[in-house]
Amino acid sequence: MKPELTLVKNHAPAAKTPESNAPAALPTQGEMPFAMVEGQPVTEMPRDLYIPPQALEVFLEAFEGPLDMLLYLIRKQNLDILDIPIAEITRQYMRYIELMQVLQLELAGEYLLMAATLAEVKSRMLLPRPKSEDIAEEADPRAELVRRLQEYERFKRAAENIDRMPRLERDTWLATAELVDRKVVRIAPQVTLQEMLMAFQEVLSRNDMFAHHHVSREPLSIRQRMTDVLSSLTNTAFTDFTRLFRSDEGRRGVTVTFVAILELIREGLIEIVQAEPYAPLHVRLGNPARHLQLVPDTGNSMPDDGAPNETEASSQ
Amino acid sequence: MNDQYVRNVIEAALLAAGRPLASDELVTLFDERDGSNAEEVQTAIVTLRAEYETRGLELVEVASGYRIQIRPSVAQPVSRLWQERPTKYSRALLETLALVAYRQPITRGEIEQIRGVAVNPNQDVAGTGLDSHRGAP
Repeated sequence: MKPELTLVKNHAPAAKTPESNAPAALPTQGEMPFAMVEGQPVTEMPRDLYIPPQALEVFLEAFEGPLDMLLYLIRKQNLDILDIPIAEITRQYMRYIELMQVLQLELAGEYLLMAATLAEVKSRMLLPRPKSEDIAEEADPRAELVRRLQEYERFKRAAENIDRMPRLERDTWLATAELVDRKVVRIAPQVTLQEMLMAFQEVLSRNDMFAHHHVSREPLSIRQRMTDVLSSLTNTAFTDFTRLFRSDEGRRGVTVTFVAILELIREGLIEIVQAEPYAPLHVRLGNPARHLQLVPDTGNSMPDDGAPNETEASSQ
Repeated sequence: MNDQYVRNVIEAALLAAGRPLASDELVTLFDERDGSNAEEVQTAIVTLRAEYETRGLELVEVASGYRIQIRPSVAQPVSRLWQERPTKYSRALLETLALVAYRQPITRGEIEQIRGVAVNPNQDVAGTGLDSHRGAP
């Protein structure tokens, strides 16, 4: 039993910590000012827990997490990270946690988890080890904690190094010069018949949603509709393609309008334009140079090219 | 080909591109029949860099190529041009960046494991132009 007892003693931080370290561990720990309040350095946390809240909050919020806080406690007292006096560190750690709770800072669960981990490490160290195991091979209960602390410290330092690297828009700026007269060729898309048909299809399908029962049918003349479309265009520069259709005329009326528009395009009286692919189609009056005379609707007359057949859509 | 001409084209291209240009890209700027090659471009860059030595600009090589930038020694007065201070990256962000830089690909869980805290999804890697593919929620 004797060797075990000494082992426990060896690992107990109180036994390992020299007397000179003890004062730093008392509540008055804090040789260096950890905050400035109204110009006065605060070197000591008031024991009655009257804490200048602003100062302490800033201080406590500066920690990135429990590992960061633990690392601070260790570094502050120049302790060997490989040989941490767990009990003492735990005590200090808990004091900070209590402070955070007193100040009602949002205390993340990770801090409490770390406190539990510290307590667990300590209790493992207090337990006598099984006799059969070789003492030298027995893993130090602190090993995992030390590994995490070291790994975190490595990346903490890496982060600081990254921050020191020259950064664009902070430490330097890209030098640029303008290239005047830069020619960018922008090709206007061609409107194909297919796209027109698709637009028409859309109008048709939308029109279906407004379908009503037709009690009576009005005879619709393509020629008449051509005149209507033309006159509706004379006042405006551009008209939305879909606006030329009236949903209340039903499928047949829409068809007649579409055929009328096609006829007008063929005769060069109107043009279909599109700003870019998938943009809405617009209709405008055609080039006056190519203007053709429109024969008034007499009901029977047919032009020479025989195109606009005077279909009376009233049939059926 | 005229050395001065090569230098001028490279200088102008670096200034006009608005991004670093790799030496391969610089070589493609010249016609093949001009007989320019990578060596010539390299020489021109070295000469250019020396020419900038006394200026407020400098020609540097970064990971993605060459660029002409403001010399850090004059950055401080130049920065007064802009009212806004550059954003200071939080420690959480920098630590996450460091982990990504040295351990990628890395999952969010692994980052949290090493940092000992939960990653704040609103703050961290978003906005730094990093991809999050592996283990992304």
